[in-house]
Amino acid sequence: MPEKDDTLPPLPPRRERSGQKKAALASATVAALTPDVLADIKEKLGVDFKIRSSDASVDTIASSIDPNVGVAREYDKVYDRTSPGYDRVYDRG
Amino acid sequence: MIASTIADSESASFDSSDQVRADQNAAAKPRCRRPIDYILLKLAARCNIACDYCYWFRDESVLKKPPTLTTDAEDALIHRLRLHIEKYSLSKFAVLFHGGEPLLFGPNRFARLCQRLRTLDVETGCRFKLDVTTNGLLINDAWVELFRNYQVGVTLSIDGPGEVHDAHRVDFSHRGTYLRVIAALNTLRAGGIQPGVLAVCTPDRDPRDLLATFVDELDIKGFDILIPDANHEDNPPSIAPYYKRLFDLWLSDYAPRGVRIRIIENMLLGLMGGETRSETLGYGPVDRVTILTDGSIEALDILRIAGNGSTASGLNLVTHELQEIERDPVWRSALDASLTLAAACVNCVYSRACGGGHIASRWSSLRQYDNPSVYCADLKAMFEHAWATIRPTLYVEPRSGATVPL
Repeated sequence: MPEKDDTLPPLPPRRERSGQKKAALASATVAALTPDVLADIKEKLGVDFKIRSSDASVDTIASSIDPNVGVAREYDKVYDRTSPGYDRVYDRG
Repeated sequence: MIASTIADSESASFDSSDQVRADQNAAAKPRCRRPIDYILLKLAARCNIACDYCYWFRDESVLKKPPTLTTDAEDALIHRLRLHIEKYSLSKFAVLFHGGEPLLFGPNRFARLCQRLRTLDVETGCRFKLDVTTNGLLINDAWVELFRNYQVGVTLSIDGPGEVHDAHRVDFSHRGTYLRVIAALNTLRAGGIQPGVLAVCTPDRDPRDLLATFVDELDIKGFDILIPDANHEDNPPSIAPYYKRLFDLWLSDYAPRGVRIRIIENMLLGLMGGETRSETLGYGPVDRVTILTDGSIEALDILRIAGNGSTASGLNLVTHELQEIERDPVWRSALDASLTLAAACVNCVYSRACGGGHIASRWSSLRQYDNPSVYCADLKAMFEHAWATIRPTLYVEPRSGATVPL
């Protein structure tokens, strides 16, 4: 009895691919994914992908991730623990 | 090109175990300086209320400073800022007005200072972002007009339900200040300003009460709930149950209504491989600079919870350039520590999302910043909970548009 193939379905025949690439990840690989591994895949391997979520609220936050920002906090961001940044002056130009 | 490499000879000396950690962080560790472009400016070293958790007065040396920013320090600040901006060709600079209670500076001097900064803005072409964090008690229509005229963003400190706020944020007669801060909120809004709101976590309370107060009663849609200040010399209560509950409530009931809570947004950004937007959580450099009321130039002010006078640098705007803070050992050690995590953090799967916790929470008298946060176990539980919740919803979307579930 062969071991169960735990990969995602194989890629379709070349003629059906329309130039798109599809990735197949072994379930063991998927199970091993952690936040740091995700960051490493993007930053060290340079794999270009977006994280998305089927939860709309989480997806909104995922969409705000800048793919061009490295692991160290972008230097020109303005932030402070005592200034959350949600303030608005209505007539600000 | 402004940035220059920090010479190895300038770096703090490491033992071999430190070097291993440094190597492990090497790929991510920025090795170059940058010009200072953000200061915490202490307009007042005193406060008009006496919050029981305030970090500022844990360092009694602040009481030896002038009550408000001196005119000499203000003049030196404007002079140094102009030189600094021109020397480094800065296109933007942020000033966060801070205290004590910054509005004790008084409206007339505040207006004069803002006018000088806005004039610098025009003369140098460097855009100034001005913000103030206040307890709100002194806010009236005149202040609101100043904020609006000088484009000053406002953050108001409110700790949630009235009884919680009044238990911690009291005046010198031990009276609660909730009704007065709510009056300030209304005055700001009537004048066209929507403040950001800042609360401090009360671990023994259900966060549902805070959410109901902020969102349902006060219509506040964006705020942060700070982790209480503590380091390894303290024995703070566990915060994980509070934040886990907060996360669940936000995700199920409040996020769909457009409510934004910075600490939750930062946790999720970090978990999904992004950069956090706060110094509280997330890996990144801590290089904040504080200007005291006498013109002293110091490292991030909250580092003073390490003890009396612990952030003193001997630098002052009257006699030193702003950028000379780089020579200050306290500033350097905080920057180095923020980029070289403690051994216990290096192999943690949440190390980047967490960043070892707030730098001040890592301090101990024995090992200084070479520790994970005093809240390490709590932070890990918070990240585990959030990750377990969102992970089944995640998938990756390559540029091609194909999707792969995680």
